[in-house]
Amino acid sequence: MVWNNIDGKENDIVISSRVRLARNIQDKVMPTLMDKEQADEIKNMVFNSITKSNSAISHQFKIIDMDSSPPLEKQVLVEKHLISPDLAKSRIGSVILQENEEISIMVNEEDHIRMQCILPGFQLNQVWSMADKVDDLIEENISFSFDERLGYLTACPTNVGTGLRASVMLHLPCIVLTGQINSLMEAITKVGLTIRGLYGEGSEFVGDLFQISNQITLGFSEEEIISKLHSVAKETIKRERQIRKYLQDYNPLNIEDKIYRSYGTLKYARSITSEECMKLLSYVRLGIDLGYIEDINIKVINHLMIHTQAGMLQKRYNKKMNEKERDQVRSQYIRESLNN
Amino acid sequence: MKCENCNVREAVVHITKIVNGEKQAFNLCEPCANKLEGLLEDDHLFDFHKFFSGLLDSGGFSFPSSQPQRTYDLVCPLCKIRYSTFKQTGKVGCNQCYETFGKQLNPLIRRIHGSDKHTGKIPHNVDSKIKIKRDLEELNKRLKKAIENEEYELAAKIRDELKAKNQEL
Ligand SMILES: [Zn+2]
Ligand SMILES: [Zn+2]
Repeated sequence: MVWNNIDGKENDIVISSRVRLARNIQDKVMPTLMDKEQADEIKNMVFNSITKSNSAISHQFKIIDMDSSPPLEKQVLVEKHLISPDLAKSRIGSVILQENEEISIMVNEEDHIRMQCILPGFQLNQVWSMADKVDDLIEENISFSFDERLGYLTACPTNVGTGLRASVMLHLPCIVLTGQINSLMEAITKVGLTIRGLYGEGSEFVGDLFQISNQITLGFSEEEIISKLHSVAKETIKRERQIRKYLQDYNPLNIEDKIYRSYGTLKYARSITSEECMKLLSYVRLGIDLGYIEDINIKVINHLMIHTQAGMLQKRYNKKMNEKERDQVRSQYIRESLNN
Repeated sequence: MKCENCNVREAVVHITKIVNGEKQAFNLCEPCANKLEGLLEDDHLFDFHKFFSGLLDSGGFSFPSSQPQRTYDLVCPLCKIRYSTFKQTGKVGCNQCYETFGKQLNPLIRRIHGSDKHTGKIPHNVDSKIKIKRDLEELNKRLKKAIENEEYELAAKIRDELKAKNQEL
């Protein structure tokens, strides 16, 4: 997982930046209409276009077929945001995955090809340029469905044109704490972007994590789409920072207490649900940024936000667990991580 | 499949009609189907007979006197999905669908995106004419701006570039 390895810019607030490109192969029917044999043909075309190229990254990929992968493996890929839940359910889908998990290429999901690049922190231009290069690489051997007027043709008309979905994942605890998240969501929707909260196992937003992305894919160039998302994200970051400073300086909500209580619970609890875990991690993450907590690196918290999910835990301890067992093991894993 | 009426163009429209309780299907091209639709709208049953005279002679259809029930459905020649299927799923079956269902899809695309003109990346192996046209559009825009700003030296330079580009076409 890349979120916690490298330092991304603005990584106190921006967790990760992501770009996804949807592409289809000329005159081949869409995955919904395919049998296994047709799907395999597409898969091999895409895989060969990468592995047989002269690119420096050509040898870094492996292929994982959904129909032959154990459910737990697939759940882990979903939790790491490397594949979509829809691909995990597919019988004909596959993912072509880079070793370092920065590039993942879903094959035969809704479109023939959905390539995704993800980097930690605020690196939208970098992820776009990565995706652009992967796109060029595949295109050397494959003719994409392209129309002069409509651009890249996709299974769903909502993605035609650039086929680009760019997004940033932001940690906004103080905008949430001060009750401003709904007006932020409204404002972002008004400028033509979408924002959605990260849902836990229930239906509540968890961890104060929000993803902002573009909705429109046609009529603007890739650079224009990226730059608009960039500036809206920047404004949001600025706002979150202002409120953080205000809450720290005037302490109207006793934020310091919230942070230390959260830290204490995480360090000593013996059972913890995924929702409570995300909520507490969110406050500790904030506490690190505000300087209350000095002995924990923010990367450890980012790591825990991913690795305390149900599938990841079961994989780590290599056994199937019910909810109660998971809650215990989760607290154990957190204690170990925070005490190291 | 060729159109059953003119036998010239590809059949992309699929019309089903209940005749005496039995389902009859016609596979037609767009112009023929439009003609037929027009006839049906006006309820000119007599013309309808004439329109299908060829079929009538060989197939011996009999038409009920009541208004026929009908559905109008386009079929994509490449992936064979119907427009009604797209309406249910919101997903096309192949790139050809964008052409087959163009009349229906284009307004939808404009509603979704507020535009129907791609201005982003172009595949490298695509017809180079598209790229040249795109460059010409860009140069024309710059030329207009230069003239508006009374930058005539720049405008002359852009005009030369335009001339050179035009020759590439
Ligand atoms: Zn015809
Ligand atoms: Zn089609």
